[in-house]
Parts: sequence; C-alpha cells; structure tokens
Amino acid sequence: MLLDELDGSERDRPTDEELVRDFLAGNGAAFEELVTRYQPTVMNMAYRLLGNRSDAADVCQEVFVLLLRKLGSFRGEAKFSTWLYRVSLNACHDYARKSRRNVSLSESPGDDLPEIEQRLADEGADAPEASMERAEVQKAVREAIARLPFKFKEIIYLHDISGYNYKEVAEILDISLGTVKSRLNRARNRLAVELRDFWEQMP
Amino acid sequence: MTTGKSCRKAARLIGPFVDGELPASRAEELERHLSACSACALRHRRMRSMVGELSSLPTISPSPGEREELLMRVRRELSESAPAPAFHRRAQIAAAAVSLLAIAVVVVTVTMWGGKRAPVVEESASGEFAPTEVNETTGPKVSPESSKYYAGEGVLNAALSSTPSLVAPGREYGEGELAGYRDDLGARLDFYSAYWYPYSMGALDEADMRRAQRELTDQLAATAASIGGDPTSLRTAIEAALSQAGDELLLPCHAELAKVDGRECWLISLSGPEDYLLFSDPQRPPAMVLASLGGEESLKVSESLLRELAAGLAPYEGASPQAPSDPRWEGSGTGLEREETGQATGEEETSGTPTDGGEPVGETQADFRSFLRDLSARYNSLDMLDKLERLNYEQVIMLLHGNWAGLAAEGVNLGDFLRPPRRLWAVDRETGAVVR
Repeated sequence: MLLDELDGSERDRPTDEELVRDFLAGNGAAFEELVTRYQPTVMNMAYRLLGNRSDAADVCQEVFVLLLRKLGSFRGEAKFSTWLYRVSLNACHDYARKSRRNVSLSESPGDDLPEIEQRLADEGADAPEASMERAEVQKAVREAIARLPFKFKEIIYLHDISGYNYKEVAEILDISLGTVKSRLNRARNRLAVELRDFWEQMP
Repeated sequence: MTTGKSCRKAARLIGPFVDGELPASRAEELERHLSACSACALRHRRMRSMVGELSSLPTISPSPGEREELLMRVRRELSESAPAPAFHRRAQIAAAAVSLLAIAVVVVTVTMWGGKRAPVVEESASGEFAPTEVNETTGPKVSPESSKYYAGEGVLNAALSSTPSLVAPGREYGEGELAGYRDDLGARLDFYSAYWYPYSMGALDEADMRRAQRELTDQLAATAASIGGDPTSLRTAIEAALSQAGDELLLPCHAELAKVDGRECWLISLSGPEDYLLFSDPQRPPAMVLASLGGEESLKVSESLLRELAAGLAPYEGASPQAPSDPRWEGSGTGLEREETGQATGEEETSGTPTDGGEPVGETQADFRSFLRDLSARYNSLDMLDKLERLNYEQVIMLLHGNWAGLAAEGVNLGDFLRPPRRLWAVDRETGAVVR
C-alpha cells in the first residue's frame, strides 16, 4: 500500500494537508472530511491491535478527538497520514495498557465480526470444506496475533496485514529500516511459534 | 549444506525472501539451501503461508451507526471547543503550550502530593511576611510546613502568562542538601510549558525572552516587597545567579529565602530550555530544543561505565574509541566517528536480519548484547545497566556521541541518562555573593 493512496493527492479532491489547513482556518467541515476519509483505516488498525470491535470503535473516537485537539501542533514535517498512524498506534497502545484487555487465550478475537464480514472473509472459497478450513486458519491467526506483544502486533499489522512496505513502516514507526527488518523478523518468528501447534494439526 | 550455521542464516533470510526483498544472489543461495534442507523448506512454506493468511485477513468497515456516532462526537467536540479561528502561528503554539501546561500541573500535583489535593496557603506563623493572593493556575501551592509559598502577580506579554514562585521564610539547608532541591520543580515545569516550548517553536523570540527575564525579576521583587520582604537583595541575588550563566538565556522562576550553611541566602532557581527533562510524561519537545542544549547536560551514567562501553564497542567499531574524560559531555568527542554505512547501526534486535545492504549482522548484535550482559553482571549500577540494555547498538553509539537529538528521535527517554544542568544558586542576602 502506498501512503499516498488515501490522502487525496492523486485524485480530484483536497489533499489531507489542504484539509488540515482549511480546518485550522476555521472550516470544521474540513475536519469531518478527514474523519470520513480515515475512519475505516483507524477502525481496522484498532480492531487488529485490540482484537475487539467495540474497543476499536472507542479508540477510533478517542483518536479523532485527540486529533482535533492536537491538529494545531501538526507541523507538517511528516505526511498527515503518517502522523495520524502514529497517533492511532499510540492511542491503541495506551488503550491496551489501560484497559488491560489483552485478549486471553480463551477469547476469540474476531468473533464479534458481523455476519456479513464473516461471509466476505470466505468469499472466493470454492467448496464448503475449503471455506471451513480457511475460516479455521484465519481464526488461529487472529488468536495468535492477539497473544503477541504490542510492538510485534503493530509491525505485523502495518507490514503483513496492511501491506505497507519497509520504508513506509519505518516512517510510521519512526525507526530505521534495519530495525523494521529485524523487528518484523522477530515478530513473524514469534507468530510462527504461536501457530506451531496449529500447523502440526493441519493435514 | 544443512549445517546449523547455514540453517540459522536461512532463518534470517526467509522473511525478506518471502517479501521479495532479498537480492537475487542471496535468493538463489537460499533456494539452494531450501532444496537441500527439509526443515528449512518446511519453515519457508509455513512462513509463506502465514504471511499469505495475514495479508488476506478480512477488513472491517465502520457501520452506518459507528460513522454517525463518530461524526456526532466530533461535532460535539468542535462546538464545545472554541471555533477554530484563523490560527496564526502564535495561537497554535499557545494551544500546544496549554496542553503541556496541563500535563505540567498534573505532573507537579502527582509528584509533590502523591495525587492529593495541594493544601491551601496558610498565614505566615512567623509574621515576617504576609501572604499575597495565590494564582491558582501556577506552580505548587504550598511549600514545606516550615515555609510559606507565594506566587507573584502580573501578566507577561507572552503567549501564556506564568508567575514565578517565592518561598519565604524558607528552611535551613545543610551541606549537600541543595543537590536534591525539588521545591522549584513546579515552577520549572510551568515555565517550560509557558516559555521554552513556545520559544522552541518560534512563537516567542529572544527579545520576548529577554523581556520576560526582566519582568519575572520585577515580579519576584514586587512579590517580596508586597509581603514585607527585601526586594533589593532579591534583585541582586537574581542578577548574581543570572551572571553565573554568562550569556545563556535563562529565566528566574523560583526564589526561597533560606539558610545555607548558617548564612541567610536567597536560593534562586533559573529555568532553562532543558527543563523538559523534568517531565516524566513521554511527551517530548522537538529535536531542535534538544539540539540547542549544547554541552550543558550532566550524564547520570558514570564515566567509568562509559569507558567500558566505549572499549567494549571497539571490536565492532573497528577503532579504538575513547570515552570522554569529563562526564559533562561536550558533544561528539569519543573517537567513535565513522561513516553511516547502515552496517549494524540500523539493527535493533539480537536475532538480526540482513541490513539495508543485505549483510547479516545478527551475530555481531548478539555478541554486543552478550557484552552488555557481561557488563551488567560486573557492575553494581544495575538500574543504569538495565536502561542501557534497553538501547540498541545504534542508540548506544548515539549515547557515546552525546547525540541527544538522535536518541530523542528514537523514542529514548533522555531522563534515563541525563539530569538537568545546575540551575540553583544560593546568594548571600547581605553581601550578594554567590555562596553555592
């Protein structure tokens, strides 16, 4: 994924930075446009990191309220989207710490997905057996992610789930490229360990 | 070709290989290994499968209800906060400073009163001075039981106003006690928010700060006069303290009439741009503030430990680095200068992966961590070593270089390694001489 994809820079609509400028000039509707533009991204991020849709919706609100208050200090040194991701990741981290709601082994993150989205997840499966197997794998992966330390979750979310490349992840997390690579490697190895029992049972 | 070493190497390369980030030559080498080693081939298949599953996890879309709820919340916030005016730069900075000020007040309250509500100022038992009205928005509201705290009046023409604090009569300090002086903490936090942060952001310029310096001196003197104190000796003491700083721009933020070594002295606390170090909150000032610090910081980490660190790094640096001879760091003078090749310095974790240049450095990293652990075992300052162990290789280099801006940018809490420079001076009330 490219960081430019969402920010309007390649379409006939205002860029994020233009919206920020408009908002700071007193146009509240510009902020609402930013909300509409980024709510899905923030929701998904929070959902994957917290493993619970209701928490994700709460954090999403917190992020945009925080954004509203902090936008005056946005200095434009980074892209707005990069800045937003950082704010969102921090908010998720804080939320996880405060609520101590790291999903336990007995919980099954994703079970609160609406039915329509569960069906969408299975879209493309060409046989009921394959569909069931696929759902099982996804469930195991979601549960394994939930058991990871936050630092590993966020890098797997950014790179492997959202598809940001190494450079973009480095920008968002404000770490070096080498650190991205080594952290991602460790996160994946840990995830693989978490999935080992599941793989062993697979035919 | 299925030795343990080559398998360990393969384990590091499989991830980048799956991502298509491995150079062709290394990819071919890995493929050869995979075809000969069933364990690594299995690891590769699982990694590929796992990454594939991750990328195909379903996304969620906000429901109409969630969209509406969020917009309602945002609109409520928009209407409750002041309508976003045509922000000019100062207003923006002021808003940011208000946030920091709020943090400062919370930090002060929690730090000084363990979260309890600060007691209200009481009448002076001694009757030497009478208390003035206390500004509720600034600084700690009380001094220790034996003292009285006063906040001055007056408003500065700054983005935010902040008043210096005055304690009179203060307590008696024995030898060494001033090193742990904390009664100025509230004022310094307050001043960072009100002055230094806006200054770093360009909302206040040097002329503003010089004017603030004069006005703050006036305020302290006026407060002292209003409670029957001696404004002239206080002015003299402030000037003496400021003169110790030479040309450095500092602000008088707190004064206490105390006894030091049996002599009646004014304790003058000067606020400086590094007062952010007092924040326990991870909120950090922009790198430019850090960069402007120069060599005034004091390191918490001992010189001998730094020397061992520097010596221990020599095999990895390919040089014979030298630790600083003076713990008051003077920028980069360690002899550790080298080109930024990306080799090793970009790595954070011990297990290692190829660097940007494609070379694995995991073993070097592991050796380095092992070296740190060894150091940890031999030193008594385990707390400091614990903090050092949290640094990655690159960050340790930054520490040795005194690259505070770089460390801050990496998210390292500088307070772990630095303490603010000395900003407290004891000035003899009668003679105006600096005692300590």
